Amino acid sequence: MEVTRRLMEASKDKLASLENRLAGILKPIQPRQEFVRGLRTKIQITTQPVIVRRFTRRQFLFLLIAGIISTTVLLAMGVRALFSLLTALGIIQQADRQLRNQRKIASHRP
Amino acid sequence: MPEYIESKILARASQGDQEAFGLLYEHYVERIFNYVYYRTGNVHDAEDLTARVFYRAMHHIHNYRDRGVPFSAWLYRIAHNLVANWHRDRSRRQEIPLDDTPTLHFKGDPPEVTMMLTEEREALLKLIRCLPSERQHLLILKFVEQMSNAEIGQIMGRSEGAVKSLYHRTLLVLRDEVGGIDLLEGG
Repeated sequence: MEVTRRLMEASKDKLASLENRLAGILKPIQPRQEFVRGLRTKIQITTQPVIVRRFTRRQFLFLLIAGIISTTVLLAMGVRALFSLLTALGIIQQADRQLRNQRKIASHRP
Repeated sequence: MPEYIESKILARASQGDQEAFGLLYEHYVERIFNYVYYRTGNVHDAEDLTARVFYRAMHHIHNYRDRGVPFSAWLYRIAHNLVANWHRDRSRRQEIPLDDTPTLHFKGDPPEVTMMLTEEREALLKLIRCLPSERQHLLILKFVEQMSNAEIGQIMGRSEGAVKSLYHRTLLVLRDEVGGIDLLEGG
């Protein structure tokens, strides 16, 4: 029992001694002032102003809906414009006529 | 730096305010340098990695979110990753001859004491650098930064009890390792 107690005390003493030693060795070190100042200057020079806007959830939803609607309208207008263009050029009528002729010929064949 | 002031400065810095980032830099540069220095054991690499830490922080500060964890934890995380990369990239560990090691002035110590401590310091530091990174981090925060277990826990994302336990286990490992060197007898 006495031996165990002494061993434990010796172990505690060693740990305390190790802690003291670590405290004596692991001390704050001052970086070179030229380094600190130089890096500060470099950071100031290389920093580009970053414009960051964070949208709120409401703003984000509004933008999303507006985006969807405008995209749909744009697509519809595009399709309509394309259709009008083709109509104006007579391509659709011509294609329609060709199709009818082919059907007529096909129906006359025995 | 009081917490509420730091959070204001952080908010400004994350909006791209250079002056605000400069204030954060001035406040943390020494701590990050110390962390990197004790992890690498080399002043030149410590300066290089410290610079990289702040460049990376500067480019990613707009992504920083305050989740109740100190800003220093974020910086230490960046430093930890860069130090890990540094260790990985080195194909073989370069031992720097003692003569080439720049003389470092410890706060409050006269030069002769610094000289006397160098040899013993190097031996123990070598042992510390063999520890897992989180144990090294713990010792640096505990002794270099003089932080309490609670503060260390905040930075390392552990409870105070877990930090205390890890610290004790670390001391036991070091004590066993130090036994052969017999550093404890010196003084």
